[in-house]
Amino acid sequence: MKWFSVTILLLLFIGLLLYLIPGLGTKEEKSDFKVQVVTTQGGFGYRIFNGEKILIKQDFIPAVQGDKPFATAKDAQLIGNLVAQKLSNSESPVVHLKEIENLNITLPVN
Amino acid sequence: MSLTVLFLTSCSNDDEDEDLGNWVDRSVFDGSPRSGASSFTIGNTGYIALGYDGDDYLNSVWAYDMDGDFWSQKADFPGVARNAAVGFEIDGTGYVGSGYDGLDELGDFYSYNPGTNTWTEIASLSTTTRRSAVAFGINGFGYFGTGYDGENDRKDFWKYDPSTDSWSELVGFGGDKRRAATTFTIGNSVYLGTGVSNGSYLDDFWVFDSTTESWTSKLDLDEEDDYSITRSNAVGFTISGYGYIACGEFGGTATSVWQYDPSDDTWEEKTNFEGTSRQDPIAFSNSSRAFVGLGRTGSLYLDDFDEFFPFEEYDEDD
Repeated sequence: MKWFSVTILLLLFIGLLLYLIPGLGTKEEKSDFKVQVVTTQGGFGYRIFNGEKILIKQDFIPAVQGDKPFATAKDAQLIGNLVAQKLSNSESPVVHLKEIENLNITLPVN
Repeated sequence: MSLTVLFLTSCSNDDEDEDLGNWVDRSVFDGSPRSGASSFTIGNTGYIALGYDGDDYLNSVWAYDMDGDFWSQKADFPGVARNAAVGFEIDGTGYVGSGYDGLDELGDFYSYNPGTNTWTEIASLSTTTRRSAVAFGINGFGYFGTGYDGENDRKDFWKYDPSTDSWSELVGFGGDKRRAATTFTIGNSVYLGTGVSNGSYLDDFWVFDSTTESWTSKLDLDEEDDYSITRSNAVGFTISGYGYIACGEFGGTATSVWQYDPSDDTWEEKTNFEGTSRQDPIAFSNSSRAFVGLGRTGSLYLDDFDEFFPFEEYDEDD
């Protein structure tokens, strides 16, 4: 009986260790997505980095017809954050027109 | 157990019998699987449009920068979301059309201007709507043919003239009707082969001379006993004067890759695609570099993407 409780305790201890040491046994590189807002010709865009590696370079508003940059840095940041969040959740980083409307992104008229 | 067997097999033919060619992982998005997407290449940028992810038909469009190894999301495709559409390029403009939206075969077509990032609807097919056709742009025109119209496989070909925005029939293809065939372009010639009809995989192989607009039969894809090129739902691409047919479906999904030498009409097997076996992937090539990825195996939709180096030794670590 005693060996049984010792085994349980040992397992609990190993479990606790795994819990306390972050990143152990997980693929860490994938979750590190950074957004960088950049000034582009006539407005703003964003870059998404996975660690040091550039993954998405968005000089213009995604999904929208025409090469239209974001009107404000805040708008670029909002959509960039949305994309980074999707990537962190292992979802498709696609931006839908509906999301652009819901976040009240200004669409330049031209 | 099956893993062990695979491992032993891969070790046993390690030495002189090794096929040439290396696959290198490129920038991808985890969680963006799609199958039956359409692609076209303009300069050093590859475009992916449409497709199906297992739940939804897609209308998003992404551009891949071959030099920078990064992606940009472009203007949404304005037509109904679909898969099994065709994509091709004529003189710096992209074209996408036909396909399947889950209910119907489609015949509408759109052009994409990469300079302005805009889509414009062009003339619809003047023939039956269809999916799983082939199309290519060459010599200032677009050519579209074969495919499945919802009732029958087809063998007719149509020519699109961008200057008049019109389609006209192009007679002269001597091959059988089929769907899910593959083409690749070398110089002024477009090669067409593979595909399936009524459960039979076609083994004929054709070349289209774009200057005379005529088709000529080449040696069959099972000409040599050790050829196993016949398949459907594969991709074709070109690197440095050689043509390639990769992945696809032949009873099950495939990883094998065959290289075509137009100078003597022969095929040589290359290193298998590094990822999971798959059908309906996409390929980009700018004639000197080529990229293959996405697609599906059974009901598993794939999101990985590799560059192919046909004359390098295989290295599993890159």
